[in-house]
Amino acid sequence: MNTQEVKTVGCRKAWIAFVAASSCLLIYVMACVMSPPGWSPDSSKIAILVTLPGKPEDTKEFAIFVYDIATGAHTLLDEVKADGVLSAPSWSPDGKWIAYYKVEPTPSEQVRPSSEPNAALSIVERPVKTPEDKPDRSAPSAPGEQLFSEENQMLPSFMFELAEERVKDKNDVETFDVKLVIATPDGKEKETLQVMKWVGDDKFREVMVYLRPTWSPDCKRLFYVRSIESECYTASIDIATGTTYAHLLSAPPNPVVSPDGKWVASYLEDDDTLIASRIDGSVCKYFKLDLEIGDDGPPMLDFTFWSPDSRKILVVDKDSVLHSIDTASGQTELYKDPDANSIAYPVMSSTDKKMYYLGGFRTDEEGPPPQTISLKRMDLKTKRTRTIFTFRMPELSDEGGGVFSISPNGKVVLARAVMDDAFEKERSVLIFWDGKTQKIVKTDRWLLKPLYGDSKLIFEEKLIGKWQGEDSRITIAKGTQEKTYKLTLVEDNKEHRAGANLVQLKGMMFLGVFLDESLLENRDASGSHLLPDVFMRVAQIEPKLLLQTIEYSKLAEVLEKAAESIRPEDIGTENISEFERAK
Amino acid sequence: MSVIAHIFSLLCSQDASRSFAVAGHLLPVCQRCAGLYLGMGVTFVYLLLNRSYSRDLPPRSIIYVNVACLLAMPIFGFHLLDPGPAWRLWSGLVYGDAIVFLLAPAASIISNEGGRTGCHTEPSTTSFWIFFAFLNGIPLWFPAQSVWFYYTGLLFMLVGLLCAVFCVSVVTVLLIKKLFMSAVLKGVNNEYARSQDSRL
Repeated sequence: MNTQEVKTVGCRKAWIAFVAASSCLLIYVMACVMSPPGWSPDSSKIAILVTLPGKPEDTKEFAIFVYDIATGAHTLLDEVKADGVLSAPSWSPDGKWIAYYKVEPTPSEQVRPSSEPNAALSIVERPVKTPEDKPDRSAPSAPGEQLFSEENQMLPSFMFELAEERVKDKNDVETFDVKLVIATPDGKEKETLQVMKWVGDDKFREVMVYLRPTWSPDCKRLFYVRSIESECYTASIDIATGTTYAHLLSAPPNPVVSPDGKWVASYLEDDDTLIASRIDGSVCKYFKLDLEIGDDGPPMLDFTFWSPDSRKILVVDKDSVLHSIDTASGQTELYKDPDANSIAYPVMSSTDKKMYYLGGFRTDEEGPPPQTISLKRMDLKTKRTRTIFTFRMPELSDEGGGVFSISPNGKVVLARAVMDDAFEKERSVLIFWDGKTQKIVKTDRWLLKPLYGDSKLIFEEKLIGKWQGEDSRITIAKGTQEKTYKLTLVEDNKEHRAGANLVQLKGMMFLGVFLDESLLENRDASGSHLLPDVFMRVAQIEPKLLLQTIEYSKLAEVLEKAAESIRPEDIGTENISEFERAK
Repeated sequence: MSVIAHIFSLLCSQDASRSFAVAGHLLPVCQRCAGLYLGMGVTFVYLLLNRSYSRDLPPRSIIYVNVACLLAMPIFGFHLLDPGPAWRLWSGLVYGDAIVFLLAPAASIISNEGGRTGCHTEPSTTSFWIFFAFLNGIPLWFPAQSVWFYYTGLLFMLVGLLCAVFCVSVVTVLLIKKLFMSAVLKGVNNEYARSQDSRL
């Protein structure tokens, strides 16, 4: 092989190496920039606390679901009924776990308030930091259950001891047990990290629905609050070892952890003093803020966050002015969007490190939110703002409220609200906007348990036809799916369409009515086609059609009580409508 | 710093929760990209210092290791396995190392039209293994919490990025020059030019 040939062969090999290396680099860069952030799960999925419409303190049913925005599938993570409570859930930054607080409905013997006989409240000495003293995560009498069990890293350290003394001196403190739980998003794995005592009465249980634990950026620690009557303190648990630390005395709002995982911040009880403490307990700083804060409880639950460089804490006040507090110098800088009258529900994007917020919205206004809201972005360095998209709110019910959140990638806005259905019944909904579409998801159905399976479905040909009632008209036709009906109800010149299936339950026939016909047409694996909005008992078909409306919960109760067959007196004679076959 | 952050924003998702914080500063790239650009930068400096980039493509043993490093990336890069920040950094480091070990010598050979200054000897292969061991050890202590470390790391990452840009630019310019020469100056139907192209 001569020199020229050697050069040619070498050149060819070099080209192969060059193309291979360049392609690998290009593929990697494209994958990193363009791949959806799978580790930022709440941009594609949400974990959400679902309750029935009404005030959270009045509800008797809580459930945490994971909802996949694209597929619409929802997975139950946990639920409690009666006087139990669940908190808002919190995703770990790696998307592998969801953390939340849980209060079980029936207190156990050891959780009994001290006002009752055999009260078991005890205040123990804080454990020394040795491996032997690690709290047992599951045993009910472990130190982790007791008050002030955390290792003190609070500055000044005597504050923790003062709080402990104060509770110790009281004989009539009421306590209840709060579990700190983590679960995988598919709900298959669940672990109670700690069972801790909270000092307080039922009012503190009501506060719990607004709280959520906070993860450290490396997912190794979980920060939580503990109530000691009128005050709280922020503590953390090392997930691997179970060791717990007390960091600062604070008000109930959720602690916020800096992106570098070294600082935790919260507020003092007066809501006007911001505290930032190093997690290792070496530094604690107090910042007296001159903020306009109302008297209606903790105002800045999710309105406080750290800058990406962990140097500043950003707070939005009631006047929708953004305060940026430099933790090193204590200097405050103010930001205000000149084009919008508010900065609401701010979030620091995980992708471009810019602040996303809702404009045209004031959080201190009573009543329903405004009709038109904008998702906006602000670059905190240049203070430049940009409108990402504007959306219109659908009509909400009188108690509709509307609590918003923005996905961490700044692309989707979610509102929790209450809307009236076709029968003017209030329904809890999730409303998603992505700038192009609006998606409304009804969540009340998620809390229902099916009362029957596919095998109980029947089909009665005689029901089909036009039926005339005293002040309404109903048309029943065969549905597109097997054993389904299409209903058209005309009442007060208003026409309502619905789907229905017919079911035989303990000797009685019921029409399960679905206001959303698509649930019957597109059957999903979660069994939504077996969860009607309302039931209509078919008391008689010929010669007259007698239909009796019965609520889902009422029928569930009747079925549970009835041994073998349901008697008419179990249901009563209310809400019966009579229809004649129309000619 | 904002310019550097902006440049890297074109190349990385820059997720803050997956980025290293060094002495209170957040690196402008995610952990895996930090490994990639750091690995590229450190490897480029290594190749410059011992001038092995101009000798030839790496010997077969080094090529095999580099290919294995490239193949490791899909496993970690597509999150099939994600054991934590140190592993993300490691997968980026070895991937960056493999890319530069192929890219820099290839660009040098192509730009010299097949010309090389020598061949790899046993000491140069040994020095690669020492260097490779050092690279694999980085995730064990990374990052050191000092401002100097932050700026040094950033510098190496920029060097790594510029190395890739430089290599690709050199080859692209050469390719354009060749095509221009053959198409315009010598004519598209020139047999001599075509034979030169086929050699290339």
